[in-house]
Formats: sequence, structure tokens, C-alpha cells
Amino acid sequence: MRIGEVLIVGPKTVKKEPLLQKLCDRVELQEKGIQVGWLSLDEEMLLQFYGIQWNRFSKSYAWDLILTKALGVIVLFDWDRPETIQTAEEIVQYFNGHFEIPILVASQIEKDSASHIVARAYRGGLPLTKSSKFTIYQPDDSDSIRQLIVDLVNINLEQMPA
Amino acid sequence: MEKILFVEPDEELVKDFQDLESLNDFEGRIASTLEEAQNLLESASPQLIVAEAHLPDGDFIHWVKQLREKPGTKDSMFIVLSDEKNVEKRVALIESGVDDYIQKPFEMEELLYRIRMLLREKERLSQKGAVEFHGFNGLLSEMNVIDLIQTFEIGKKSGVVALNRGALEGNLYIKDGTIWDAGLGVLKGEAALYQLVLWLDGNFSVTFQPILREQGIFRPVQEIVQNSIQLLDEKEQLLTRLPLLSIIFEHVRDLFPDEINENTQEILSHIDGEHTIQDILDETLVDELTALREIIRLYQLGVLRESMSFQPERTKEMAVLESSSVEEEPMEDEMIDRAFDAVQNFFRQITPVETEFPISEDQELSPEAGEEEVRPRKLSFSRSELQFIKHRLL
Repeated sequence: MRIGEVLIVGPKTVKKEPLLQKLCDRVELQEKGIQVGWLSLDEEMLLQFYGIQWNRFSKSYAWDLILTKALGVIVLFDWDRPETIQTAEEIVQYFNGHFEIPILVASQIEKDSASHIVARAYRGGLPLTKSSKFTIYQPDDSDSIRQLIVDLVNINLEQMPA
Repeated sequence: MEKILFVEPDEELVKDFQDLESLNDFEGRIASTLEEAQNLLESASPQLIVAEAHLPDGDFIHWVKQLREKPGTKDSMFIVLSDEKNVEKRVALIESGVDDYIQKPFEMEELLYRIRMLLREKERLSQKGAVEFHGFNGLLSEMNVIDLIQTFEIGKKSGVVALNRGALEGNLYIKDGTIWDAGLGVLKGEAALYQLVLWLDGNFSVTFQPILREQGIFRPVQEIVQNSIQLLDEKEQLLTRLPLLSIIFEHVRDLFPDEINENTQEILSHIDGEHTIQDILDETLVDELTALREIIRLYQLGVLRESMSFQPERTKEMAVLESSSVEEEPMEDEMIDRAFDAVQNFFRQITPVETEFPISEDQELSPEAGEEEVRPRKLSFSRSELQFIKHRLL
């Protein structure tokens, strides 16, 4: 069985569990602030997701146990909550500074308020660095959430030698 | 050490609070029900009580009123936490005698800020010899001026609402639920009131007290509320015709004589390549909606254009791009470019594009500052496996 791991990290107010519920076959609460979800792609391939709430202690987590072999990190925030953008900055700075890992920065935008123009602008992701991109997603839309994983895989593909 | 009682049935919030109090020198006690809270109050009187409004074993409002009558707790500060959306129920919670209301969900840092503000206020009042403070504080983003007016009206209360947005400060005076007067800089009465109701961000502080000043506003509350809602609607419509309020305009061409009106020079005098649109609205002598209309007119005439500067802290105003009616307009490509530029500028500040894996400035885990190593990847997936994952997801 091949297991691809993805970390989904964000501030407390950007909910990760509903996102995992839409994405995964099964989700379990491991402990406070951490959820784990699984999505089986076939009999031999499984994606494992960690939904992690970023807090003041997060920098002391043993990230290297997962991050060195993970597909990447999805950093969530909410355009309508400026404080979540500050947390996203902190997360991106931390991971960029400590790990060679693809990062997808994803902004939650509610479906009813999402402008098609904004959505079009960010479709496919906006490159921030060679290893990170910015995009948006709609938390109630399964396709939009799956697209986040596709975007993360695309960053991995772009980084691979031809 | 400040004593705080935290009454909250949500275990996750309790855990967050415990983390908070252990780090910030508060002597905190925790209860998940009213009964537990009562037991703790028997042994000690906290300076501050932070409590969820919907507790499993009792009526919150009745409990607060009881505490306000008991010698040990009548002077305690009280913060209520609630996810209540109904304005009347929120008003009832606020009127129960609490000092602050925090809408859920919230960040613990915000709670910590409010706790410190209240404790500081309590300290200030005790130094001044004041014995009681009747009121509450909050953010206009959670409770706007119209909500506050309705709060007073429902309870037929009297008091002062002190408002601030950036460097601006205004006051609203309400007597027995009637809007009595308002002040904002040199503006008084309705002129001030109808500017204040347009504030959607900033802070407010409500103090319930008798109003002794002369009456400056004479319209019924419901008429004022209706007028205010219309003004807010107009402001929102105008905002959809502008880029973000946080951008900076530059003056790119002179005007023809027939393009100049009585407000033009006033607005142009603030276009200096440094002030954002929001700054201009705050500083101009022209009222906010007139200023917005004039800025939009000058923008559409091509007199103003966006400079390259961008202030990311006002990203909330990305909402101006939300109008679906823009779909067929020729401005679409320009708006997309602007959105790209805005986000790219924002993230460029936190992830330098020139550096593939920039070293964080935060070196707290690093044994030797400046020598942190970026851990290399050991991804074992092949290109074909990644393609497979992508294919299955699509």
C-alpha cells in the first residue's frame, strides 16, 4: 500500500474538519485540534490527511516526521478574517524556513460571495515561489476542495526533473 | 495575580483557555456548568468572569442578574461568549449586566485582548474612585452602529456610545432609547450621526448613563434606522465600483474646466501617492458618500489611477469584487489583473520570490540563529504515481 500524506494547517477559525469530511472516506479526531482523514484512490494507493490547528505551540511539533516525505502542506485562511491571514503568513514563513516542502496557500471564500472573477483569477494557482502557490477554494464545494489536492500534486510534478 | 473564572462547556475552548491563562499570569479557574461555576464562586470571587451564554444547566441571564446582586461578585467584570445571531437575543444578553460581548467563533488572542482591556478599565475606575461601570465594549465589525441604536431602543436605555475608527472619534448620545445627539469632529446632530452609521470597522464603547445635554436630533429612531440602512446600501453599491479601499491612487492628468465641481479640489488635495482611499475618506471634509462618489467619478474619468502601492491589511475589502453583475463588463480583464497584482504583492512580502526556500526570521527553534537548515525532501512518489493521484482526484 502506498500512502501519500498531506497536511492541512490553519488557524482555529478556519475549519478543517468539514473540509476533511468532504474530501475523505473516513475522518477521525486524533486529539484536540488534530484530525486525520483517509481517501482511498484504489487498492494500492491511499491519501492520508492531517488537519491541524495552528497555535502558539505548533512550532514545537515534530513536523519533520511527516513533512520530509509528505506531498505537501495546504495552508488555509479566510479573506474575510484578517487575523487568519496573519496566521497564514506565520505558517508559510515557518514551513518555508524549515522544510523543503510544496506549500499551497488556500483562501476560503464562501460560495455565495465568491466572485466568478476572483475564482477565474486564481484558477490553477498563483505562483508565489517555485515550491508554493496561492489559490482559493469554496468550503462547501467538494470539487473545489479536491482541486486543492490536485494543485498540490501539480506543484510536486513541476518540481520533478523532466 | 488576576483571578478569572472561565465557564465554558466546549472542551476545546477550555483547553485553549488553559493554554492562554498559563502563559499570561492569570489565575484561572474552569467550570463547564453553572453548578460548577457556583461551587467555585463559593470559595473565591474572581475579578473577571468569562462565560458562554448557552450553558446546559440553567438560565444565563438569570444567573448574571443574581451575581450582580451578590456582594462577592457584584463588582466582577463579565464577558459573555455567544454565537447568537438574533439581535434581540444578543441585546437581552448584553442587557443582563455583562461588560463585554464576544461573538463566537473568536481567536483566543482577541479574548486575551478584551480581558486585558476590561481589567485595565476596572483598575482605572477603581483609581478614579468610581464604584460601578455600566456598559460594554466591542468591535463595529461584530455589532454596527445600527445594531447599537436598536439595542438602546429595545431596552429604552440612556447612555453614550463612544466610537473610534483609526484616528477618528465620535459619540452618539441616546436618551430613553431615542437618539438624542451625535458628534464627530466639527459635525453635530444628524450630520455626525449619518457619518457614524457608515462605519463598518473600528471599536465602540457603550456606557449606560443619564443624558443631560441639549437635544440635537429630533427624528424618530425607526426613521433614522431606515435612513441609515439606505445610506449603508448606497455605500456598498459605491464600493463595488472602486478597487479596494486600501489602494493608493495617483493623479495622472489635469482636469478640463467642465470636469471640476465643488468637491474636486478637496478630494484631489488628498491624492499624494501615500494616502489610501480609506485615509482620504477619514480625512476629507466632504461627507463619506459624497467623497466616494467624487473619487469614483475621477477614477472613471481617468484622472486617478492606482499606484503600485498596496496595503494588505484591508484584504477584507476584496468583497468589492463580489458583484456578479460585473461578468459581462469590459473591465473584467483589468479586475483580474488587479486581483493578481494585489495578492502577488501581498505574498511577495512573506515569501521572497527570488529565494526558493527562504529562511524564516523566526529562529526560536534554531540552536544557532542564522544557521537553521532546511530539511531536504524524501518524497518517494514517482511522476507516474503523482499523475495517477491527480487522475483519480479529477
